[in-house]
Amino acid sequence: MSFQSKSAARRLLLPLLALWAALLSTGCLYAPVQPWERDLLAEPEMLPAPDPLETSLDEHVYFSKETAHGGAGVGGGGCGCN
Amino acid sequence: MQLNTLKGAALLGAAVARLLGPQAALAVDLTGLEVEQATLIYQEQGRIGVVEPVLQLRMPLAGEKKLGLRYGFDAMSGASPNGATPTVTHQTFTSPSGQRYSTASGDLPVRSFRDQRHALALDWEQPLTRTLGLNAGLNASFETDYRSLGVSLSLRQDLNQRLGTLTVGASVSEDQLKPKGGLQEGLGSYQDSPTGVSSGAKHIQDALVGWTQIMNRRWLSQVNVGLGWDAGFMSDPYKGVTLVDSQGQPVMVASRSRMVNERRPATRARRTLYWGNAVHLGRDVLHADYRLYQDDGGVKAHTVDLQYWWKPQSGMPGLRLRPQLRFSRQSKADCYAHSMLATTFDATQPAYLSSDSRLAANSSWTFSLRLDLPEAEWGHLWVKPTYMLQRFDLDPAPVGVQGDIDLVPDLKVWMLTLGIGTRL
Repeated sequence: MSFQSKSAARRLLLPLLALWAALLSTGCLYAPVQPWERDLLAEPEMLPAPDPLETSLDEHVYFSKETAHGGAGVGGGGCGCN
Repeated sequence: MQLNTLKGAALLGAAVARLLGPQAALAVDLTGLEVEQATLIYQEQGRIGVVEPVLQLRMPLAGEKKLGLRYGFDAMSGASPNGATPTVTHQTFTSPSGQRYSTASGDLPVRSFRDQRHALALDWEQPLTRTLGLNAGLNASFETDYRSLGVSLSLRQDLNQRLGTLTVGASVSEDQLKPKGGLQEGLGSYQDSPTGVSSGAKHIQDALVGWTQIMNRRWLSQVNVGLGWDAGFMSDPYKGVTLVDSQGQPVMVASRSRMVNERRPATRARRTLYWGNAVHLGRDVLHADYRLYQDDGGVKAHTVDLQYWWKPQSGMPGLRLRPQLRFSRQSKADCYAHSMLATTFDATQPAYLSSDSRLAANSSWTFSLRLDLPEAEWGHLWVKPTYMLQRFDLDPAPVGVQGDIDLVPDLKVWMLTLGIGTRL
């Protein structure tokens, strides 16, 4: 990443964080949910990985083609493909 | 159908268990067992093809415990780059097993290979208290020339009336590679510098702290910070790097291109920042994930993954269509060069050098479309075609005739995944 794009990213980060904090504090984004209000959150598509088997196959492909890996969890097993 | 047979077996098991009493019921009752099977068909344009069937079983047990088992088998074949740079002339190479193979002018040099992989994973999930849960895993993977054994452990603590969850996890993996022909001396003459050592070890450790938060009635957000440390033999034992002259032509030694075995640092420290989001849009669900990856080898990567679960109002439960767009951009590793001037190599004697394009600066695009067919009495079925395109930056700048050749060609991959599952 070039020096210019780094400073551009830094310039962008601060307003984004400020916007994020403002939305959180005004309740636009964060609103506590009661147990009886969690019907939508309980749907299977709302899980972080709705289909772990599919995720494991996808991650294996990305792991074999890119240097970056991990982040979503720990474990998963090694492989000689990279 | 096999799934119906399984369902029948579960009913029979339950009936037998009832006859034999409660102790036996615990042993043979398969009610609730989730059986999932998926097969990935993977094909790179002009390179590697893989068929990877995977079977996953998840069994709920008494006390909200869960036992998971996953077995996968990969059959790999095709051609893998050997690290040499394409040239304007015909090139000949010798494989570790002594076989000679050649590459036409302008083509990326590749060597044929065939291998199989067996991978087994066990997963145990259990609540420790009303709000604290434990997850433990074992992983094993076996290839002809590579073996990996790993364990993982994570704890999840629900907090603030279960609006937030703190996750702490760690994993350790001990890998061993045993390349054909033994280990070669890093930066020694390509496939001609035996060390006399037949195998190398790699130790991989990861730690992760995460926070999952229910933001509101429709939004779930997760932030993870991960650290990783790798140590041991990190080089690819089959890859080399071509040394070229000022015209961009390989330096010839005994009518062969002058190449050296690649060599990567023996340690690597990794950091990840992951931000995952699931947003319910009334009927459909959007997943938007971002990951920042950085390691001390010079690689920094940004990855964005967007998935949209579209659930049409069709009166057919389970029918879903999910387009996916994933983009990843990484900078190059410090040790990467597609080739190196022989004069530079001889003068600077670099400590590390690799031409593996996965260490190059690159952009990777993935497009997929998953279709889940409506739920049937016996279970569900899904299919997902995927296309992946990876484009590489040219670094260092080409010299001489290298400007006339595609030194690091795009990687194009087609995939098809088929999945089927049921619950007994």
